[in-house]
Amino acid sequence: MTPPGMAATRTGIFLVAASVLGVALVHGVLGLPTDATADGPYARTLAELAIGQRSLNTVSGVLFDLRSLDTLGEALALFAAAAGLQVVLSEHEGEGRVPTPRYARPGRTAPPTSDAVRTIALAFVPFVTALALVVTLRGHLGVGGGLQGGALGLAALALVFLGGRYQAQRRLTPMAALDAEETVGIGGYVALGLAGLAVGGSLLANVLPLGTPGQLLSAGTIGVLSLLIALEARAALLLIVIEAQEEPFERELPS
Amino acid sequence: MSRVVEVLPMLVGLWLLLVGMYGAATTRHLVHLVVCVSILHSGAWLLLLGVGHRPGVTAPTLDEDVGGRVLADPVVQALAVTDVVVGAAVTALLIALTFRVKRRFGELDPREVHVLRG
Repeated sequence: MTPPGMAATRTGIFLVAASVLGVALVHGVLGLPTDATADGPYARTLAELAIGQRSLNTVSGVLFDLRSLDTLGEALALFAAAAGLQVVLSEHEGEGRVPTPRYARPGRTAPPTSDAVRTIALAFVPFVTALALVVTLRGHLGVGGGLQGGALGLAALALVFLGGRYQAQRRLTPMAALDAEETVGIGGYVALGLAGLAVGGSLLANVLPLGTPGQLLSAGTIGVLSLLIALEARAALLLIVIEAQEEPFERELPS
Repeated sequence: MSRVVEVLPMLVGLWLLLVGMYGAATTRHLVHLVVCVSILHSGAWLLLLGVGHRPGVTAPTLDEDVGGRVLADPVVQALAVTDVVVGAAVTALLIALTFRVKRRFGELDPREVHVLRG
């Protein structure tokens, strides 16, 4: 137990540090340029860049070309979070188990999922799956992209779970397949990046043919990287969800 | 649009950042700590919204008629996309760590868990 005086000292130190930081941040925000309108030279440069990249979606152009190394870092963060969750939630010996977990106490039966929720959730699954595919593949054509597509892929399986079909959801996402999907996503991204280094002279350089803007096969590596990120994001988020689904808050004593 | 309206989202974002930090520094419950980190994170989102939004901008895609449209800054939008996904993963990892602390020490007050005591 921390003595109360120490807690007060700590709060005091925090308040001093936070007020200094707060003043600096407010000063910074008020000093931001006000004339950075969206049709200035900066915006024109970005639009020209997008046309040069043949990517009609300038956000994808930024994510998968201009800042594709940053996106690789983000994919690795997802990968590390999924792997870290599995390590952190693995069970160690002698850790708190209770004789009667809360979920097994009398009177704690979950009410069944209502028919309305079940029907609507399952009816939406094919549409959300289709939407996930469309959003993923349209990353370089219009509104869409790999990360959003991957999250929608997770949403489709969340609907299966919401519809009361936990077993079906688990059968649709075997762990081995998710591991393989993550490997393809991250590994493919790195391999494409190294190909750019070998052919184009810089990591993740756009070395594939650029094609005609608006075609499915265009914008070079942007579309491919978007697809790979969708695989990685879907697999990593699903691994996180499955790990949480398998984790009972309280564990029974081994009988 | 007046300067106040332009800067307000960013100032609210900074306020959320500082409030989240205050909560994290004085917390007495690890779940509360995770929520504080989420609030701190929301501050970053508001900051991005404030930087990215300009009056009259539209989605930064060139798939429809561009004539006369003013595109929003795609760099900020790309940062926001990154932020959303990583934020979800970080929150999941923090909650998992909270689970582990509870399982290991049977306690969720960081002042009671000797390895976390400040």
